[in-house]
Amino acid sequence: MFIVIVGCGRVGSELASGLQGKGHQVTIIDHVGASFRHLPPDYRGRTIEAEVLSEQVLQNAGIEQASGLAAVTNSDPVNAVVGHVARTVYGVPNVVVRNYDPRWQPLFESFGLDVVSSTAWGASRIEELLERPRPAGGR
Amino acid sequence: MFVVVAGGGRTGAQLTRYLIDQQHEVQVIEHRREVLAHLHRELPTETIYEGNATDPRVLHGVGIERANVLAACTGEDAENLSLCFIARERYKVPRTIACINNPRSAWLFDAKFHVDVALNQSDILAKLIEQEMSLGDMMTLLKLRRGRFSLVSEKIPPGARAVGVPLRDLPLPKNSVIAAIIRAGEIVIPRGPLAFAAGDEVLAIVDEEGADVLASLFGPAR
Repeated sequence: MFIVIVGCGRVGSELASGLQGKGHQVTIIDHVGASFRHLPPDYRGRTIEAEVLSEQVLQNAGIEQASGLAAVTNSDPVNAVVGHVARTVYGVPNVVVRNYDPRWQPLFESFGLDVVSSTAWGASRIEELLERPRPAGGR
Repeated sequence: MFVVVAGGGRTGAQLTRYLIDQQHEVQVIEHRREVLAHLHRELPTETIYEGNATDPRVLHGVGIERANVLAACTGEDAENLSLCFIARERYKVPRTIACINNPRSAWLFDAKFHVDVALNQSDILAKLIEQEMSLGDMMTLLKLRRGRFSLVSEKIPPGARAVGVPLRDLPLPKNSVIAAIIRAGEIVIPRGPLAFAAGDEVLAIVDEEGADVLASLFGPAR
């Protein structure tokens, strides 16, 4: 599969590395060139340093041929806009976006996008673990 | 009308002030502390709503569901696009207007994100500057239809090609209209037989091509 990743922070670079490990072809876009230092040394995919809301940049990244796109920047509006465009303009079959600020979660529903809310999920999982019953003798 | 303005930067603040003067009901949403301090000096407190415009609780708090217009004027294009989309999808706001910060994202500002009107500030400004450079003494008074047409005024210098020519013989391109002539401090209605004289001030509505023709007819002889 050919996958476009938008945002090369911790999530984006980890995802790129994982997908590459499974034999997928990856292109990753970030508007800050220094972000690509997050990528592992054995990363072989393309890196594009550019602003992602540009039509030219998206086409140059090969969005028209992509079978999947992940928008995982730390800006919810950017993830929503890129995800919406990938789905409605370019018909990318599989689009997943990251939710950064939990307050934004209901807004992604309006866009009808598949969302992963790592912050909200992480917090509620930690809460679960803290509340689980402990063996006698604990506090 | 009830207008929600998202973003209280230069454009948002100016728009809010203007709408208040026009007796409209306005709420301007802003979260940056330094911008808020500035807004509080400029605008009545009851028109300022503190918070992030993309926070649903904030949108609910300003009463977005009864807004007639949303003006998305934040400094982030993705935010302006999301706001227009959400305003229509979730809150059925009948009219959305958005500012474009980066001309490269201009292609997104249309029905894709429920943007009814998009204002490309750098583009409008660049066009204005270019026209001011090329048209000598012609003054642009107003831009219509997002810059497609202009209301221009020009004072006819002696020796201009149009001097002595009746209006009906003036080779004006289509999409150009002479709206009025100011002669000796009085407004003269432009009729066919009226011949132009040096010193006349001509008011016209023109497109880009009309502006060029007008400049060559009414401008100083070259």
